[in-house]
Amino acid sequence: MPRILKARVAVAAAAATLAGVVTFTAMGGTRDPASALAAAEAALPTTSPTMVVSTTNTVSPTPSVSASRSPNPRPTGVLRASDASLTAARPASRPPTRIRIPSLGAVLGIDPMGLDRDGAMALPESPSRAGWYRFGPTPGEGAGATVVAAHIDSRAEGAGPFAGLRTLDKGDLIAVVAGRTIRYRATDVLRIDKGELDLDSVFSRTGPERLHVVSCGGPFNRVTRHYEDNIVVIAVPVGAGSP
Amino acid sequence: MITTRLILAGALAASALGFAAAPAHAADDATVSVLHGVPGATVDVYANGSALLTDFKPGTLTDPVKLPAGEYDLKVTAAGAGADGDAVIEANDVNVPGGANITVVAHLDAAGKPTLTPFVNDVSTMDAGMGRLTVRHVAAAPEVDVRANGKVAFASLANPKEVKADLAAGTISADVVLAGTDTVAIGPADVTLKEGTNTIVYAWGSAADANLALAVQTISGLHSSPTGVPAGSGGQADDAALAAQMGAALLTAMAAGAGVLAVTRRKATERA
Repeated sequence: MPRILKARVAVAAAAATLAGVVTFTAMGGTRDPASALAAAEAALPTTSPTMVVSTTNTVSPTPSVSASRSPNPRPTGVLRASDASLTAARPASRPPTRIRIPSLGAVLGIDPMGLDRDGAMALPESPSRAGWYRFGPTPGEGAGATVVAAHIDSRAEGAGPFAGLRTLDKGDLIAVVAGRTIRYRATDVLRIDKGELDLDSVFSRTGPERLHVVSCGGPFNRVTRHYEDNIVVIAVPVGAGSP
Repeated sequence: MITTRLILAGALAASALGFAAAPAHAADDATVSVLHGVPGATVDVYANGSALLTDFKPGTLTDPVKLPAGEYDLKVTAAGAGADGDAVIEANDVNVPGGANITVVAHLDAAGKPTLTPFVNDVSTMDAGMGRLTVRHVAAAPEVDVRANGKVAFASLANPKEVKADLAAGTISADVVLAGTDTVAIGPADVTLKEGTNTIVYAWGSAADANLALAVQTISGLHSSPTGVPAGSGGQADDAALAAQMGAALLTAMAAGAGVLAVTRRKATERA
């Protein structure tokens, strides 16, 4: 079962002791936190942390022998073998370059981002630009969560477009340009205490394709200069069973 | 003909493939791949007397297969020789330990004789942003140094040993030189170290026959997640300010509630 909250929080939610214990709510709706979590879990297709083993090859200095599969008939029970030479060719999945959220009137350019020195996802400094976690799935790759995040604000520029993320409603459109335009619809808008956020779910690379739009929210800690919550919008490709 | 008893770990055949009666138990299964690194010999592979791989060509790698833990008899014959054909390589009572991820490599030893070596693949998770490079010397060749971007990354690697390291994900230019020299034996080649992936490079073939080559196996899904998404430093979008603007009692209450919570930051050690 996929989770955005850590497991122990999900248990707390199931026990209906959530309110007052953790800071969690569904934005843009009137549901109580526990039912919002349940809905978020139900909305998300199953992910499994199983390891994927592939025989994908990388780049070669020489033209490689073609025959990527053994050409002889393979009776049941016979293993397949494929060319292990350093061949070129990863299927080209394009990195996202722009995100548009019409209901917010928001359009942000996207930069591919890795990690900051603390091992957290790095983001463009300006809240008017978004970052895509470049080690995770690209939009249209077919599996896992594409993570696009932006600062909610900065000292220099004030609040940015993602300050409105919390006001998104289920069903709102989100369009991501990644070579072509891929349209998503929001299925859940969550606000989760950073300490309770299940990052392995946010950055999951397995399960059906989805988009996680992330920013900050909740109270601002003026000592650490960080917000205490993350806003996570879960969206699925239009046509993939979204509401 | 060489008979090899594999002690460390071993090879194939499977209930999944119909070769063994025991049902597969995922938790105890081993994951096994087979790489063919003997130049010039297209072979068939038998496991417990049944054909596991036919027309297995040099330089190819099988898909990984789940096998129940146990002992297997392996035999490699010339293609089409049949189950009773002469063995090119044979390995009996090969122990396949449960839970391990293994690549069995049919290759030449340093002296040029065919042999089988089982390698245990490192499938432990690595830090976010890293890729794992494993290099295995399975060629009929002397000790080598492996260079990355022109500098020696691994020195004095001998057949059939391996070396590995977690490096920043990206593309490196790798070549293989005779140990302690600048004499290039293989490469240079661009090797992409994908994040969260163990990229296993095999140097195989024969120096004497001038057919040294590289083969690559990748095992993905070994990544870790970032430690967080710190996405705001200004404070202008603080709930308190928004609540005042919106008159939203709920948000105010939540902000107050959150204030008494100790935010437990996720640590790297918590990650699975």
